[in-house]
Amino acid sequence: MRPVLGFRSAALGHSGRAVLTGVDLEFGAGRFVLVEGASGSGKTTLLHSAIGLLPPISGAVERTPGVRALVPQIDALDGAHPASVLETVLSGALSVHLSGSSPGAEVRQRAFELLDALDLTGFADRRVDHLSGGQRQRVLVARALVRQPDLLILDEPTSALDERSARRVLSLVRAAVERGALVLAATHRLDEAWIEVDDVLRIAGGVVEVAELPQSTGALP
Amino acid sequence: MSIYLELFGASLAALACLAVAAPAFGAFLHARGTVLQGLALPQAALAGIAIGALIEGAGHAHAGHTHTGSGIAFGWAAVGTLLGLCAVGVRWRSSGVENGRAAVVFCVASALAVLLPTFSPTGALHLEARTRGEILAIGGADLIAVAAATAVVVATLVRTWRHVLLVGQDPTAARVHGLSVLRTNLVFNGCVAVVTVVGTATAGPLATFGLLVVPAIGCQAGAPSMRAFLARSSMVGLVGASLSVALSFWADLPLGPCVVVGCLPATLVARVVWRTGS
Ligand SMILES: Nc1ncnc2c1ncn2[C@@H]1O[C@H](COP(=O)(O)OP(=O)(O)OP(=O)(O)O)[C@@H](O)[C@H]1O
Ligand SMILES: [Mg+2]
Repeated sequence: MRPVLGFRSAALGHSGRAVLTGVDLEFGAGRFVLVEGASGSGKTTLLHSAIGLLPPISGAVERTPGVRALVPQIDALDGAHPASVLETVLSGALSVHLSGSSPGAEVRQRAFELLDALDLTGFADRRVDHLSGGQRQRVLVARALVRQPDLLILDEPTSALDERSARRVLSLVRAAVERGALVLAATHRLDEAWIEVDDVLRIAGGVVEVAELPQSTGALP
Repeated sequence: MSIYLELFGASLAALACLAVAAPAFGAFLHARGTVLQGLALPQAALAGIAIGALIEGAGHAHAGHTHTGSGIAFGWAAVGTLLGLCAVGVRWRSSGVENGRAAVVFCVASALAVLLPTFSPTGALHLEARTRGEILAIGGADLIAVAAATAVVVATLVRTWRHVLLVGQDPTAARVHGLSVLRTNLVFNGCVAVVTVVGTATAGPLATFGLLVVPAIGCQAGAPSMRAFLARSSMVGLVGASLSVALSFWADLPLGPCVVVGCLPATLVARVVWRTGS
């Protein structure tokens, strides 16, 4: 299978200072990859390098062209813009051309379906800065998924969510994987919510290693 | 009033165009934290007109006449605005540095607008008329320029407001989506510059400040969405401009400061009526 994303002997980090070295990885379409590691280990560094926000210090990061989306770790939405939830979600489906048309009926339909699936029914016309942290996190998931990305990066997407909401988010992500997306998600806590992932990468001591899949204890339905 | 309309029809129409366009851009300036631009750029445009008056005045003094037509004013206002915009810089939202620069631009432009006319008596008259916002000076050709320019920038905003929102709300996401943050900011700031140029060259800097910065502040807290914020700001601008024309007409006061004064009650009422966002 043609890889969607490849790291070739890459050193990744910030301002010329490497956080991760010797990264050699390759991912195909339709995979759900979990990146696990302690706080400060380099998860965000790896994800931002994967999606092109951070150029590699050495080596190369290769991506096939396609639609990309990011659910950021920190709620990055600026509160001074009085944007509604729907406006924020639809901003995920904007044409990259400034002359492009505004989101059509099909995109709106998809946005409403995502809001329903994320337990945000009835929130479309609420201001996004009037929501709770967990609600905002789900809005950002909807904004990413409405793009129908080929490469989806989720940086601790469940950190502000209860177990039920977390499972809703991850089942939507799983559905994107079934449609052929490559998904990289980070967590600092590998628990049963992540039972559906295909691969696990563990970051420790500046090195990325392939790790064991999480085991089901049968506690979840 | 009908004679007034006949005499000032073009001026009123031009003011209406500005009153719809400027507050919508002002809404984004407030949201982006770059509202000081709304003061610095019109003042820079005025300084540009002052420079123009000085140069034109010197060139024509011996020929026995001075050329203070508004075509020239548009040109020099554009020069001043462009210089001001370059000095302030184009960012997705304000940093302390950018606000500082905008303040310095305002300061320097204000000084130039007072100093330069002292070297040319006709320039002084010309500049005073601009500052007071004598809309008598707006003729048919000016109206066409103002209407065309505001139509273009409003159409651009209708087309790009979602992009400007994404870039302002979350520039990292914009980059991931493949949207050029720089290009979006250039288009937005270019539109603000156009509004500034036509506003300052016709209705004067006070009316332009007033429409750019005042109406939006009454609509920001209560708007349920960005689209509502933009639309309500324009509505308040139009009401404020109408009040200011009435005030200017009945009390025989210069229009420029009247626009600021007229926008204030409209903005306060908007703030109270649209108190709660959803
Ligand atoms: N912008 C930056 N400039 C310089 N160093 C940075 C920057 N961002 C992160 N770092 C450093 O890189 C290392 C890895 O940070 P990173 O954000 O990737 O960690 P993380 O695994 O995502 O942690 P967390 O779980 O807390 O989010 C840390 O030591 C951090 O201090
Ligand atoms: Mg992180």
